[in-house]
Amino acid sequence: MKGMWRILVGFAVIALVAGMLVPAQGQPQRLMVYGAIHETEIAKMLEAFTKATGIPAEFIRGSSGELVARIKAERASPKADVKLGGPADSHEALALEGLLMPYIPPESKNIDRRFRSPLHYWHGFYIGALGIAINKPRFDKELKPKGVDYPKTWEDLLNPAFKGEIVVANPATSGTAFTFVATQLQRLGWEKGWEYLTALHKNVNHYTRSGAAPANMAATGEFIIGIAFGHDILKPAKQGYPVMLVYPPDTGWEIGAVSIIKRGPNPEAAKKFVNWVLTREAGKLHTEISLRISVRPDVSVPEGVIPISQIKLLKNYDLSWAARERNRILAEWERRFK
Amino acid sequence: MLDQVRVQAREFRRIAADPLLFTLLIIVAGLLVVFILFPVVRVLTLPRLEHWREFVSRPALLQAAIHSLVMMALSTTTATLVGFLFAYGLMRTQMPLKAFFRTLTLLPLISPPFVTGLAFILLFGRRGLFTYSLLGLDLNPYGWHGLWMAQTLAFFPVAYLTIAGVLRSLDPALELAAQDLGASGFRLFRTVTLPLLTPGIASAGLLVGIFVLADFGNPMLIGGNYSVLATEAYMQVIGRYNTEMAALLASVLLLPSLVLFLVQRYIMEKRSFVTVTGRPSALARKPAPWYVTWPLFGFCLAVSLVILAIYLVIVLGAFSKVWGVDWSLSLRNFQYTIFRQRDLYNSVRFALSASVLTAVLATLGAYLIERKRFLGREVLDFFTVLPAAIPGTLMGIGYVLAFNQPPLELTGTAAIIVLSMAFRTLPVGYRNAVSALHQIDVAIERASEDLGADSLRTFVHIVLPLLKYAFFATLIYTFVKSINTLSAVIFLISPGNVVASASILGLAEHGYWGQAAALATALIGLGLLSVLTFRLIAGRRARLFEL
Repeated sequence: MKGMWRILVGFAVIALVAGMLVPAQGQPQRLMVYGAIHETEIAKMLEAFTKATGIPAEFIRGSSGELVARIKAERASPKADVKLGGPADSHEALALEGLLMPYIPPESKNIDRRFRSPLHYWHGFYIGALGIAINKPRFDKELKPKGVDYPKTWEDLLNPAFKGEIVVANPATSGTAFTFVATQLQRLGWEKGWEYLTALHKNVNHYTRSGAAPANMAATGEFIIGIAFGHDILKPAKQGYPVMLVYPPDTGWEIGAVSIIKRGPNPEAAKKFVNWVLTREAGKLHTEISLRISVRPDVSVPEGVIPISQIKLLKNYDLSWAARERNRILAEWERRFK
Repeated sequence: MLDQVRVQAREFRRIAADPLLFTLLIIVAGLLVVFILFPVVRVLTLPRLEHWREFVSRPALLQAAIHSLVMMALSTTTATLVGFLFAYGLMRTQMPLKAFFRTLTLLPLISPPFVTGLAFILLFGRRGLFTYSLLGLDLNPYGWHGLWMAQTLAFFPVAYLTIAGVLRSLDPALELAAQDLGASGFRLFRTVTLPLLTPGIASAGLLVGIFVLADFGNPMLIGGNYSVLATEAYMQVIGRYNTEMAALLASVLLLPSLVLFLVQRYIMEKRSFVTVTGRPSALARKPAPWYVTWPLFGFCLAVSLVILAIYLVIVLGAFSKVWGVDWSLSLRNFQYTIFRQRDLYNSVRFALSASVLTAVLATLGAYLIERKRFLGREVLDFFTVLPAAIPGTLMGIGYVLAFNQPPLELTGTAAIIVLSMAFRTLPVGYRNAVSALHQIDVAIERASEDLGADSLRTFVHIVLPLLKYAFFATLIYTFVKSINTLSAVIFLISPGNVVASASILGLAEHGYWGQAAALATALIGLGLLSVLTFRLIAGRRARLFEL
């Protein structure tokens, strides 16, 4: 019998060691963040937030669609406090399902009402506009001699010379690409919009999963042209890649928002965080590291970034239409292009 | 038949009379049901009839299913062929550089899944270092052909290990007898060696097929528009918020995987009757002639150089300032690795816990199932090896569905990650322990029991010491596999519980290749270090990474 107990004790010791390696669950003091902006940016933002408020924070990064799916799946017992970043229509979709908690942060008075949910479910903290990324050396070498000029408008992208040289993301997984598709549908109308996308499809080599990937593929010369948000194109350009950014007229745009998840583990910290994100200091930090444009007029545009006033945005781009019609748009996209 | 049941029932009563043994049996069985069977059942039962109707009516989804099968056929064939050539070359010829080849085949097995795919683009992409900068070719790797090449490279080591194992255990007496009777060269190979090898090759192919079906990283990175079931299921969750359809696609994926798995199991069971003819004799074979050795050497060299290039590119990427633009050496990318060291630390921590859990459970399970003839023993055996047939995607979705509500609410915790890591590698640990047990004569245990020791005392004093290398091999295997795993864990990470493989995906997706490469280099380094430690301590007394 002695041996028996010895093995049981051994088992218990091992289990204990294993158990200690797994830390205690649910420290209530930690702010839990679901972030849809880039890995490095979330990490740096949270570091600054902890420094400013003393509240420790943890995050995971996912594409906006992925995080919305998670929040929905966890509706019975939410695991996160805030969703940071991602286009406002993804936040709006969550609000429509009753999964967000409305909150009026003191800083909200400094934000233009166009950039927040009318009922304060979400608040925008940056604006991004869609652009065309062009790999300059390859374009100059391969297409310039044929008399092709840099594309300046959405229609220019239909030039047969670009066949197999354009990359854009899949709207089912990428908020960027969904904004692109919704832009074309609102710019040209449902029928004409799909005609445009079908014509463009002939030039598209393939649809990537992540919205920023086309910018990087154009930067490395993997492909000549990529469609992505301007800030995603500027980032590789700043690193030294020979990539050029063109904002076509009537371009689509996003409001990047932050929202509080209803019944999250730490609502007080969530409120502090949302307010902090909207402050001037946080806006400056985020703009500096991400090259996105802040919604706050008192945060200046970083060097090399074109101010939003100089970009010809698509007027009357309807965010909530895009959120409501999401499933219909994606189903039609899949029917046509897969 | 009835007799057998009676014997098993009697054995069961004997175990029931031994309360601690009985408790352990119940614990093992309970864990298998809760953490393997339950999640799978949750996934299989989630989709309703309307979802199946939708599946059949959406051509894109059916196409993904067809693509999965096509890739399975293509990549499995080539990976098995390459694996066979490697195994034959290394085991049966006197080619030089064998240690070099053997080490390189290990690399794809111990590195994170995205590494091969990422390096493949960097090397053979449209601006690839090799195809474009060196050869001036403008090749487009995105699509089924690029995927085919990447999967062949990623999975041939699995085939190599299996076939090499069979080659090692083949008794040379048969081949020598054939030689004495006048057969030689290709005739000997065709009429004697190949028929003896066929079950081994078939089983290698079936294993590779399971890996190809479940492959998630490679289709994600270089599949282009060629979507397969594993990636499409993921897209359904993240793009359409459609858990039911994702569960359905994962279920569809399970079917061929399960078939391959069952056939492989059947072949292996049959084979063991044929080859158990005693220990391989010490007779030496005649080495293969030069016209076999040197072409095989050339082939192994070419493939090994490609693998070497893949890993050099990753290390180069990690240490260079801006990939493709500024090649000057820098440690800048590692600064981020240090800034986010928590992810790396989590990976190590979780993988350590998982390896202890797997090793304990596998050893205990193997002892109970292998040595005790109780009723339902075959069922338990089947559940233990079942995870080998379950694609990671299905496992991940299943864990989310099964453990997101009381009584077992685990989502958002570190425990769910550790558990998924542990149960996914359980089949390998279990097989390690079972094959080690096979080498121990039951007579030793009987003798111990005759001398008055109960079964647990026997287990602790007789069996456990003899199993220590198998136990150790399982620890290392689970650790290395777990720090790299992604397809299931990607559904389970939560704030504070992020692992390095998931952050590599995040970084690579956004084109932070240098930082992704730096983190990947750290993981590969950890993997190599673990394998090295194993070799130093265990030497050749136990096998690692031989499925």
